[in-house]
Amino acid sequence: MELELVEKGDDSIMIKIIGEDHTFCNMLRAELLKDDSVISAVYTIEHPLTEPPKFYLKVKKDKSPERVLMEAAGRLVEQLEDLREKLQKELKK
Amino acid sequence: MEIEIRKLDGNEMEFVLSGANPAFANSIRRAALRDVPIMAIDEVEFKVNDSAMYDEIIAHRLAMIPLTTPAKGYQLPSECGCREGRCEKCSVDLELKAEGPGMVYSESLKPSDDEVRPVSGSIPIVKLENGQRLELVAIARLGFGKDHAKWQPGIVAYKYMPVLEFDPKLCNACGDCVKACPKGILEVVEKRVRVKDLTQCTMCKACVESCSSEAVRVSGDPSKFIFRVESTGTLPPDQIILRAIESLREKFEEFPKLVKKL
Repeated sequence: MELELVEKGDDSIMIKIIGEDHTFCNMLRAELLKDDSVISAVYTIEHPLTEPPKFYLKVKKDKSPERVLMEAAGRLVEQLEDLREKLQKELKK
Repeated sequence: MEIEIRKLDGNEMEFVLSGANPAFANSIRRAALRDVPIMAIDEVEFKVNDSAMYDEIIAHRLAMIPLTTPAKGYQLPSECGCREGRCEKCSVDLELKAEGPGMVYSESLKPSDDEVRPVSGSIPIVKLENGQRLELVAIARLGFGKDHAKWQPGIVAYKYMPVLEFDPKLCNACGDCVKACPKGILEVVEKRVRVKDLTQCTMCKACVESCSSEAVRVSGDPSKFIFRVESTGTLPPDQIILRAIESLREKFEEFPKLVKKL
């Protein structure tokens, strides 16, 4: 995974997520939309073979968009780790 | 989020994921199909091929044979130090020597590591005539389903948990829906319709159509998913899901570090 900054404002950010697709972006988008400080979180893949996804995030003024992105990813790591542990527990039964 | 395994039998698994959302469930499905590395034949060196089929066709047929993937031990060719994808750490040689007449089956592939062998020995490769010979070395490597379907560990699909509602005010327990249900999961007990096994419901709405008093409602619960996993035999189905979750986690662990550097 590589990130490339496309555009940056005080309350918004647009990045290219090189090497990823819907698997990563859609999960991140859904998690961001649960956050009250997010006004808009969207992404587009202009062509799946040639273009990396472009991810746009706009947040309320009191938070930085980078901070919101990092927090969402952190929450997903926790959820996935929790799910992995639960699955392993189920398998041992 | 909760997970409950309903069935785990050989290459098949069924589990219920609850407390999730559609995006989460779909990413797990996609990660299992695309981001779990498994072994498959990636390159073939032909020594003799007298058969009626071209080298390319035989190579393609060989790639479609599912191979078992050891739990640990092999590296992806892109991450291996050898850079050629030809060393012991990132590749396995499968030798094949056969002479006609007769059909050549996948059991004739002799691997250099016994942990990487064809899942089934009865997959036909090519038919040889009297005196025809086939000699080759097939090189198996780890790879991802997103690059080629031969590296796809199996099939993963999910559906929403069905929700069947019978309005007690409108339902007269006539039993029309019980007869209409193609899966036969409804029954009338004490003048009320009861569902025997909800997970069997395909949401076909035959019960809705059959009901003259409009008492039946069918919908799906978008926070509860019934997953079905069917492995080709390369990995156990539970391992496919575990590795898919791990691959997603690794991505989301890497992401904040990259955001910081922006």
